[in-house]
Amino acid sequence: MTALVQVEQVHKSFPLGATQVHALRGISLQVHAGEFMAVVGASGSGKSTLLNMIGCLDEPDQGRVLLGGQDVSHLSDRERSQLRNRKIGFIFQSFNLVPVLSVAENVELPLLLHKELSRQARTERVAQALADVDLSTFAQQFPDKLSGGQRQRVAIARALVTQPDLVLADEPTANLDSETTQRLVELMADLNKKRHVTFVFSTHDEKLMGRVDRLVRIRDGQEVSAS
Amino acid sequence: MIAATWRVAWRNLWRNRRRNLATLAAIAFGYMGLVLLGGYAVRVEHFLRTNAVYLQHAGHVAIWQKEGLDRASAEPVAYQLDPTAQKAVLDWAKGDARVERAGAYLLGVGMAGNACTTQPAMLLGVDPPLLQALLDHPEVKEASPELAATAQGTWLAAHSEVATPIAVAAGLQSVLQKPKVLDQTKGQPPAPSVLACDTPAMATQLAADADIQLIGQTYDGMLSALDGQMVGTFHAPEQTAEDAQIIMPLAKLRELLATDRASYVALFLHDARDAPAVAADLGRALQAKGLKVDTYTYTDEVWSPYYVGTMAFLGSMVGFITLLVSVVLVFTVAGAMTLTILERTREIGTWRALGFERRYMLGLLLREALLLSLLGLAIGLVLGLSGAAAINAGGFRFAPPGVAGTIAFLIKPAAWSCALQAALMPPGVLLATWWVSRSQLRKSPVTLLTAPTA
Repeated sequence: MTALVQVEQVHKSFPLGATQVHALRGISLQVHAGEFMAVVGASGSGKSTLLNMIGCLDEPDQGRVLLGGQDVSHLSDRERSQLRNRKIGFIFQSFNLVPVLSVAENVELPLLLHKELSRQARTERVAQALADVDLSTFAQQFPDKLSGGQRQRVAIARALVTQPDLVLADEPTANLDSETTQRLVELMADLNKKRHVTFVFSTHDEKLMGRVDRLVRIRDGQEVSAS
Repeated sequence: MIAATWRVAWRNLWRNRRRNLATLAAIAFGYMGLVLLGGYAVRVEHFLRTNAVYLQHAGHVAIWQKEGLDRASAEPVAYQLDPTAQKAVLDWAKGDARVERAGAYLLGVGMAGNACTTQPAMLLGVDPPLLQALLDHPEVKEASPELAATAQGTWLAAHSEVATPIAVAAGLQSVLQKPKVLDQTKGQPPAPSVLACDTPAMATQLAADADIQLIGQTYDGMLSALDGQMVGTFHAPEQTAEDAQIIMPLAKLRELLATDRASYVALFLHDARDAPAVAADLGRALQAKGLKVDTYTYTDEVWSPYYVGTMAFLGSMVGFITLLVSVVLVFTVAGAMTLTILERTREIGTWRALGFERRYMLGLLLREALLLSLLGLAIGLVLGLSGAAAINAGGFRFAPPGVAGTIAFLIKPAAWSCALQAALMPPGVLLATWWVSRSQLRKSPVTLLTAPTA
């Protein structure tokens, strides 16, 4: 398998009052293309920080992160923005849909930056993404009319609509009931297989843990085991 | 993409309706006040300009003998325009399409008497047809119909059969105790040849005719007198003239003062904005003929001090209030936008995570602020214009300071004044929004996404 993501000796710390919190302490990791993997660990272990580094949402203090062989650790804000838009899809714990946009508009949002796409092409992509998550009939609804599970499916469609190399999902099932979680996990696993999109989760969820190809456990900002 | 951004900005305005409606109301009512204030200033300017140019006979451009404005009253022979100079100016005016009318004026001082007492009088000599044309001018009819109308009787031109028709300011008429104008005394028994002054019969005898004796000093130092017939009375545009001014035919004042000179020649233009150019062109033309003259426009403080001084005060007052209101409104919008940005911190983080750059987010926030302010201005404009129409329909009257009598209280918002007063808002709002959003937008996406605000 090709290494889509390489995390090499990454350190990250944050100021918290007068002290520094060391969220990542020299962690190294590889994610292969097409993988369906999860990063697990206790709260504060550094899972989200690690995903933020991989997702170019934050910069490491030391070490480097390579995405498709390109060092993305110290790119400009503009380059990181473009990279996130083109290569990475995000699924957030709180769904993070834009409330003033309809379901279709939310899904279309990242495509607005794809100037090479015509309006027609964007519409087709949105329709396909909504069909993939079985929400075609909700296209014109607004997020406040949807259930939690439906909102997270919209978020999945938005993450996949740009046809990214990698989807990062930070605790995607934390706000969902077990039945919805089960359906959502199956949906993401299915999309992973059908579309060969790489999924990396951070999670506490046993259902999700049991469904992934690989589990990486971290504690105090370091990898402790992989399975 | 741009259309989508405007659409999102528009929808975002409705997310916190109560706050944005309050902000919108603040902008709308603030701007409505500015529209009304600006409309009042426009009305006052039009009123004062019309009075200065047409009713105080300053003209848009006035030509005096060199230094005549300062010295003609003391040395009229040396500092008034002789017939050659008058003709040169009037001939030039006839040939210039920008000039609507022109006429010579003679100013003098003298005494006005009723056969019992005499009072000092300011005499203004003007050709009656020119006077009538100025009083009938559409601008005068629109801006100052009250002062163009006589208080009693008629203006001079209506009584061409009278030897010396005069129009007397109402204050002077009262001092002279002559209650009736010529038309009102027709058919009455004549007054005795010698009046019983300081007796109870005096009032009746003074009311028997409209005769006023005018006494002046000729330019060669002799006393001179004329019997004038008071055909009309009027309220002077300036309070200082109300107790002293008499308007009479130019020829008759020349006869009284035994002169063929004129204090100045006034030019009345089709377009007031041409005044500086006309003054300059005329000055050059007369200089080329070897005439030594001074030209003044109605905006020269030495020639129209009341108009210029009042407008300077009014302009600075309106400007200051406009600035003050605009600053308050800009801070109101800035406050609303600060809350908006804080409330939407995580959402901004989401947009950033999806690949939207800082400048795009700034553009979105600027659009929201701009839409809010433009919408408020549009509502304020409608309210202001409606308010002005309601006030104008109300028929209110007031006494402006320095002006005799009352005039209609009118609000006349002009497109340029509305635009000028609105012009400060959008750039101010954009600047303030940039200022309040820049610290949030500088943060990394992960800081925004994990912010404690919703």
